[in-house]
Amino acid sequence: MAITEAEVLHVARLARLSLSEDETRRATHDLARVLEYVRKLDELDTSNLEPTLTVGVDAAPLRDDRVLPGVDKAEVLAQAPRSSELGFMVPGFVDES
Amino acid sequence: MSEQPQNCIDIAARVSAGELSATTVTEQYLERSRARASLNAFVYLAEREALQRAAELDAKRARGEALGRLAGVPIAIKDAICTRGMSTTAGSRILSRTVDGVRRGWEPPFDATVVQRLLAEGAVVIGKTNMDEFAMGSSNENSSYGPVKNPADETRIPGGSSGGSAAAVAAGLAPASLGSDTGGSIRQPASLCGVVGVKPTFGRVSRYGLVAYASSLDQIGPMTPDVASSARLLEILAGADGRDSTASAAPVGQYEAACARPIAGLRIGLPRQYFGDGLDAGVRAVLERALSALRDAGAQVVELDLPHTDYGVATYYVLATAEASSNLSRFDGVRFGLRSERSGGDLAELYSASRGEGFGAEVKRRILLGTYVLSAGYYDAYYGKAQRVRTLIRRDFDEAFRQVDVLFTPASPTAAFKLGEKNEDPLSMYLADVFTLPASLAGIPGLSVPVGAVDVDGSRLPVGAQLLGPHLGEEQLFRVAAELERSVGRS
Repeated sequence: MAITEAEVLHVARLARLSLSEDETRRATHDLARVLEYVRKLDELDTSNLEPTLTVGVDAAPLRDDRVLPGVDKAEVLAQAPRSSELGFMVPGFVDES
Repeated sequence: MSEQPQNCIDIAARVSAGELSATTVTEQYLERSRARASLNAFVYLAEREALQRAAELDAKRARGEALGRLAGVPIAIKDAICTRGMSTTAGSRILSRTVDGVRRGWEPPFDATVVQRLLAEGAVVIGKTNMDEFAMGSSNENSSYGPVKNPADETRIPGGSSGGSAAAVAAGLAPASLGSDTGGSIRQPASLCGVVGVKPTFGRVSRYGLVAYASSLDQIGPMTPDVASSARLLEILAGADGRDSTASAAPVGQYEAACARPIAGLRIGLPRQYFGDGLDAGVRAVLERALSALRDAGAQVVELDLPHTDYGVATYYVLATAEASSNLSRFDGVRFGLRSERSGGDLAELYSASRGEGFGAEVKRRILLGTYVLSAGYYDAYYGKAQRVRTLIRRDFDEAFRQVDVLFTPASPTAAFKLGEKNEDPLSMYLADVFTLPASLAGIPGLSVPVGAVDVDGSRLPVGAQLLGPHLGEEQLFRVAAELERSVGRS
């Protein structure tokens, strides 16, 4: 099944990933090749099989209900590209007009 | 000074006994790391932090306090594992910022659980090792810091994605390292560099503080020159963790003790699908010698089938990329690392521009593939299908372990290939993982142990065997690996 450049650009938009024209061309070629290989899975009849979602995790063990120190807020904010003491800084995204 | 110690166990014993200071040991490994900087094994050599830590340990010992089972042992940590206040980038530009013209990695505000456990036993973090960006790769050529070179031949790849961790141990830059393995990223580089590497059972080791790639597959594990040191490290790393609900509460095995147990009577399976045409003839000959040694030691070797082996690569590249596309959405230019300056005033544009600038080609490819296989109209055909094939692969192993205790296979179809040989074609690179992916999909433990070398174009290149065990069957792997080390490992 071939994938088109338009589909790659659609997927890139869903993934919030900007691609140059060159990257789009290359990705279309590479994805088509990998998807073609993956069709190999259609050789197998899986109609009566349960999907495996995870392996070996029988039950999530519970921890004691104890308050532990979390990470330091100032230390976290200091690693952000832009922050103020109130939190992470981003461009305004609510139109108040 | 007496002979230089060669492994963690020896170092810990001598530092604990006061025959050797943690500072001396740390200085020696730092010195070697600087001398072999051309390998590009470290993305951050923690000279200041390591010497300070070693001095603290020496002071503690001088006060008569016990240091632990890793007293003064320098350990290199894969750059995907969080180290408090110490650069952690997962090999990516997106977790780095440029400050005054200098690249600076994200400095996590906490240590991963595995790092806490090593430190609690007296270890010294010596640096962060190079890796394929976000652990996506089999050759270490996808690192934003440039590739790691194989210590046996610097024109060749060390394997990946934990290539820096493997090369550092192989070249003696650290007596131990931590790697992470999603589809073979510990076992394959261990094999190509000639060190021991363990991918524990899924859930055996906490992933708290590991930069996530594919959450149903990722595991952290040790890499060391010798089998017993990996056994000791895994005993320390394994066990429940209140901060990772997938970490198993099952009792941790006696891995170090298992190394001394003879293997007579053990049933070892050879899956036919792993010894087909795709296996290099030189690698096959080395593995056959190792098998004879196991027979001589009293193991019962039987051939069997894992019929769905051939579907591992396709299954993996659907499931792992799907999970990655979700996990990597957290890298958005807001909370850590790189923010694009081109993004203007729009938040969605800030996300896509930062991700476009920050991620490398292979990471973008896998995010796109993963988003595609999860998107409306394709979900059942790809993601749902791959989850069902995963069930078949898992059952293959369940069936095999009704007949045998351990499986013996190659870890890689060839010895280390040349830098640049496969990185133009993603599919040929993916196929390099054909022998490690099925066990990852089944969640079972795997261990790669050096069993010899092949001569290729004037270089002597290491060859590893992969041992696979049933769920939580690590003890048996250490038993067999130790036997191989005694009989053929140093040839």
